[in-house]
Amino acid sequence: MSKGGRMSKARERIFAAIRRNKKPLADAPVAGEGGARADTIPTHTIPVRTQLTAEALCAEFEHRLSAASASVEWVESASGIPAAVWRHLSDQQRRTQCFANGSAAELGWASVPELDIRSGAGDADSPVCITSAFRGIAETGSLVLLSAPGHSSASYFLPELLIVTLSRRDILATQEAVWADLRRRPEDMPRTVTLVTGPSRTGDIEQKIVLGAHGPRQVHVLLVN
Amino acid sequence: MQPSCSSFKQQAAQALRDPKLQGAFGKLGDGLQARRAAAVGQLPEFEALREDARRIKRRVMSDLDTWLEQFEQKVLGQGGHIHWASTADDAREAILAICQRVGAKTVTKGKSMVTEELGLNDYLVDQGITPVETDLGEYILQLRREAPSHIVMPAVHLAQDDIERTFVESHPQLPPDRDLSTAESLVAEARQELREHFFKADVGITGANFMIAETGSTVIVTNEGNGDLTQTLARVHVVVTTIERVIPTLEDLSTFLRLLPRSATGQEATAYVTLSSGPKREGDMHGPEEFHVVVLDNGRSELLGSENQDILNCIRCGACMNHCPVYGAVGGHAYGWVYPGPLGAALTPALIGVEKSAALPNASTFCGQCVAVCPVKIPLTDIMRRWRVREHGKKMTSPLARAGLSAWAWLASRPALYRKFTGLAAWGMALCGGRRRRLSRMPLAGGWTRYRDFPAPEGETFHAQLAQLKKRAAKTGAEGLRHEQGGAHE
Repeated sequence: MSKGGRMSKARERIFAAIRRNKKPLADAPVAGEGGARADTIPTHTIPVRTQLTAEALCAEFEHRLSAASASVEWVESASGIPAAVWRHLSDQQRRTQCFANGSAAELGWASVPELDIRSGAGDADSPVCITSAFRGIAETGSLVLLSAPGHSSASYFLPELLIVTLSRRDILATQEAVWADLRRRPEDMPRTVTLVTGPSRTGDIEQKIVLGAHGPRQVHVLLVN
Repeated sequence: MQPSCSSFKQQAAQALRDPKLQGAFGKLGDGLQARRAAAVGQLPEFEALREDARRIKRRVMSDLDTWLEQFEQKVLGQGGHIHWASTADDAREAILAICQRVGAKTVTKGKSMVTEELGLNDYLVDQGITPVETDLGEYILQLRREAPSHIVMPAVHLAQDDIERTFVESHPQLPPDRDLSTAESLVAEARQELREHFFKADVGITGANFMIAETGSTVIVTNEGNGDLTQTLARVHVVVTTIERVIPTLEDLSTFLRLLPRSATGQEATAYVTLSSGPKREGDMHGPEEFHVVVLDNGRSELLGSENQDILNCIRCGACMNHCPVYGAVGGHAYGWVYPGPLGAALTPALIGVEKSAALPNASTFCGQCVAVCPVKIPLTDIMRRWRVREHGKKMTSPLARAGLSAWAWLASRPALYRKFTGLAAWGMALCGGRRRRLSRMPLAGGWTRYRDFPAPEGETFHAQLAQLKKRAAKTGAEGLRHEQGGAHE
């Protein structure tokens, strides 16, 4: 039998077993009629700590970012980002190529001519990457990064230092609020949606937490007022 | 992986005598429990979330085919492929067919227990394909040719100097006198060694913590970032997962993401959560040209609708093993197959048969810590008890144990005789206990008294005391009973 034939046999077998064995819930609506459909959005418990005023939202986001070992800095406007990046880089990092992508690629990098900015995701040894976040989540201090043409998900994982820009108005309380915004976009689901909460880490050696396991050792967030 | 669960007793005895293993667990102490407790303590809604999660899972299981079909349609709609695998053989062949079609020589791997269930690494090596584990713990174990001993922290049984020696032996191209004395230096070396593999790999294999029906996404919840490099930089991404991992919507995911890291590592959130939907899009700089999801059953559909169905709710956080006194004493390898601890004791008999694994559900004191911490409220001890009943029903227990149980059942179903017998036994044991009130030897209880004394009963049986108490209470009224009970506690 061909591989494809075996596969559809396996599919039949699995679905037949599921249909034979599953026990419908007494209180559930019929499948496909508003019951088992993924377009009805459920409401589950949301932690009370996420009910915050606009002011408190930013403070909570900053607090959670620091708790996740990320650093934060406010800049007045997007035009201040290149200078802020320059200030944050070490002497060694200033001498290397930095990669910018997402909306971060379109900033006025010429204002800091000392910076060697390339657009792209970087390669195996890229020390610095600057990218832009779709949203921030105050509940956990997470950055929501969407892949898109010109915005590669590899760039969040390759560099030693990941700098992420985010507008104040894009800080939301919960993941649920981000999902709602994601559904409102006219585009399809992005190929990758990545929630980044602080630097890469591992505890695989005697439970000692070491930052920079495979991804960035440092995550620096530039919040644009 | 060939199961050796039936040798649990010998393997456990060996583990207890292994100074390295005992040293590693000694260092671990109750650190994992404390971390979970701290994280859970900071979230007042944790209990409500557990209940929500249980409800979501019940709903999914009641209509599992519908959710899987919706997931399948979304994956196909986004240009992905889906491969249904009834058995481990089906899954291995599906993965091999993909690798061979694209001419794969090396395969990078993110952490995946399902691929352990498939014995995938050995299988790929036999077919001339080199798998490279990229999770730090799994990488260390691959170098050492060992199996993971924990589902979240695979190398938890190793000490730092074991890892240091492994790296010195496995990386001969590096200077032998380099400093590897810190965890940081070991992590840096692994990072350096694995970097080029991500770029060279033809196929990247990851597991999935969840599949989302609404979006056709697979989700990985990680801390290192290796899973993301694996799936982004290889030409082809293959997700290997199992039928019960599907959840309906993004909101359902959020509920699980509030439970999983807190239960697993005591984190509020892991460093990374990535939702992957289909292959690279037009204009994307990186990303796989092909996106495949291999969905394995391997006996799980037979759990559906059974009294043990709830084990399918497991989200693989590892909290049950972190809180298990048996796991904490003997480690994961003693369990003899992929899934150790209470999870393994409840799940393994369903996957490989109770005939090969009855020792696992017996390796529990039923203290119930696993049930108390399970984020999806799986009644693990009930499930283990049912496997014991199944074992007994299949006449797999020893003739002596069966005779003993029969005798006990005969006695226990005759209350008057039972009271006489236990009264006599209590009196006899108290007599033998002497002034020390402890027994250093007892018939049929050598396993206990070899290591510690058995406390001798100090008075009458519980039944007898209760009867007396009731009699006195009837005389003095309810007030008196309450007083007596208060006194009994002192």
